[in-house]
Amino acid sequence: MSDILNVENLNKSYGDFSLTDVTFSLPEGCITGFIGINGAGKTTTLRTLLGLAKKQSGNIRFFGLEMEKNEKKIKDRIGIVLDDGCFYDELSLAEMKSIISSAYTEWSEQDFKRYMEMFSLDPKQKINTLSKGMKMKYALALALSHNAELLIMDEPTSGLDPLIRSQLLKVLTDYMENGGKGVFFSTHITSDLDKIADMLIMINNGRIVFQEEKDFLLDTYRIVKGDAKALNGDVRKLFLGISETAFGFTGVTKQMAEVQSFFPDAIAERPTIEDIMLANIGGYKK
Amino acid sequence: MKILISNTSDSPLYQQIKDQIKDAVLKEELAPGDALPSIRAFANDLKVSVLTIRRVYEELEQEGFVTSQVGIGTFVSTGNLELLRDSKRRLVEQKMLDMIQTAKSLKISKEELNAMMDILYEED
Amino acid sequence: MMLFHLIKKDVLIVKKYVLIMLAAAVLIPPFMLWRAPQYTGVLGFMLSVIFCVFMLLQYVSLKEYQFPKAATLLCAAPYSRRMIVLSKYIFCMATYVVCCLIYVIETLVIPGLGPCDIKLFVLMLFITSVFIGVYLPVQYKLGYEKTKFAFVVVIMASPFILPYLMKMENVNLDFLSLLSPVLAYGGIILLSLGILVVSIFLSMRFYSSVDLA
Repeated sequence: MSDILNVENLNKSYGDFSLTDVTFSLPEGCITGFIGINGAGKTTTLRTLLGLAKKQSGNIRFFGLEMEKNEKKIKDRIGIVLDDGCFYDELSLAEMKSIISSAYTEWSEQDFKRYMEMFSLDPKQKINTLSKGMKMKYALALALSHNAELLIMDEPTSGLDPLIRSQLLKVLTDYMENGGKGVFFSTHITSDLDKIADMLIMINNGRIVFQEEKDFLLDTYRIVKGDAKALNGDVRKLFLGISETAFGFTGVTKQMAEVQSFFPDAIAERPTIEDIMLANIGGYKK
Repeated sequence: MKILISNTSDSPLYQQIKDQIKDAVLKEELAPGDALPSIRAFANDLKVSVLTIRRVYEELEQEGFVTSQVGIGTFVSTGNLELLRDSKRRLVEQKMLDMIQTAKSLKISKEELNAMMDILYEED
Repeated sequence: MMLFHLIKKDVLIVKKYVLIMLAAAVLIPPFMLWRAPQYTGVLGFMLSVIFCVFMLLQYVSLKEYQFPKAATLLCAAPYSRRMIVLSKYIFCMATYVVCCLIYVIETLVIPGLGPCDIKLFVLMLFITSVFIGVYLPVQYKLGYEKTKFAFVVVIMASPFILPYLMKMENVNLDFLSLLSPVLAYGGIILLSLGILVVSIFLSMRFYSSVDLA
């Protein structure tokens, strides 16, 4: 299984914020979630990967090809969904499509029509009459209608209701079953990722915190609940985050075996991705 | 084939899945030549990552339980009766060892144990 | 061809105004002929070119400014930034050509509207090239807001400034008629193209280092 994207030591700064030595890779055949709180650097990373913002240094390779030398060829194989539509709102869906479709060598009008029907979108309506959810679906229709191998999305579900979010997840799983080689999407709504992510990459303050298989994270991290009296300095170090009440403590740990020796009676549960994310940025408080 | 993943078990997800598939093969719920679900379909149904299923299939293949053909799928291996029989024997042995250990800790003698087994074996 | 679709995009986003500009290109020459007949058709033609090219460019720039993320999406697609820049220039020059054609047709149809000689077209080619040659790189460098104010002033002032310039014009043209016409006109055309090429190069340079919305 080769990697569909390799990023090495990406550095970019502007104003107060910088991406520092961002390194990660997307394995083929996976849905990879890019998580982080608002302002962590997700959008900046995606923009820089796609050449929309200039990097100071770093190596970017899609499908084994260097981005700097093969930009056009690479972009032809990527489907993009950016937050907030990014359209000329006064145009109709058909007009905007005619602009976008002409950029891609493998545009499939048939696929586009199928998605438009699936999403109940009328090509003649104006983009500014669409709701946020419909705009996202339209963007998805455009992104999936040119035989893209990789789908990159920037916060596609923020501001959308659970029904639309679950529809999107279904479209993504169908895409992966039908020739899609990878999906990379950034989000701070981690419950979506609990359901479909295979791999997770977390970023905070412009630095990569971890890149792990989702199941590995769920197997390794544990939420432990026990008696607060037994917490001392050494034990506290085993936890990434602890919250205490008069009735006990709840903590997140990666070192379950050691914790168990201190608290044989403690209750241990599998965490959610949100728990893991919060624990890694020191924000875990239940 | 029934696969139930426990959220409270300490065992890693891939281990649970692998063990349950092995069980199904040994109990002959899965026959040699039967097709296992595609990686992504299986992952979706069990709500785990494709990477986990990939690992399960890879390890099962290494251990001889399944064979995979690129582009076609993964199938329960045929002609591995020796292996299966050995595995089954080892399964029974393991359970017997557990039973003996428990019996010893409860101070049940070998004669009592044999008597218990005679009675239980006749039940069906 | 991708370039064609980018130009088509510019037309689409200012659809309504294209029609208005076409109407303007049709109406201005005869109107000026009526109001200021001493300048014959020259003033009308010059005004129609200036008005149409500059106003359409303004509207396109306004729309791009209102929807900045659309350009981001285009750049995320295989459209290169260079092509996007180039398409703006071609859009402007195409507008100029359309104005010329309308004027030529009108000189044939409307009595008294003229002259229709190459001197006029070459002159306006030069003026248009200089204008967009300066405007577009400045806009790519400084952004829409800062640029537009200065140039709206220019457009508003042009009906007043032009006649003044035209008096000076005659002096220059007399000088040029000492050279053979081919050399003179060819030289001005080449100069216009040269200005455009340099301008395009600068615009591409500025645009390629911008971080998109």
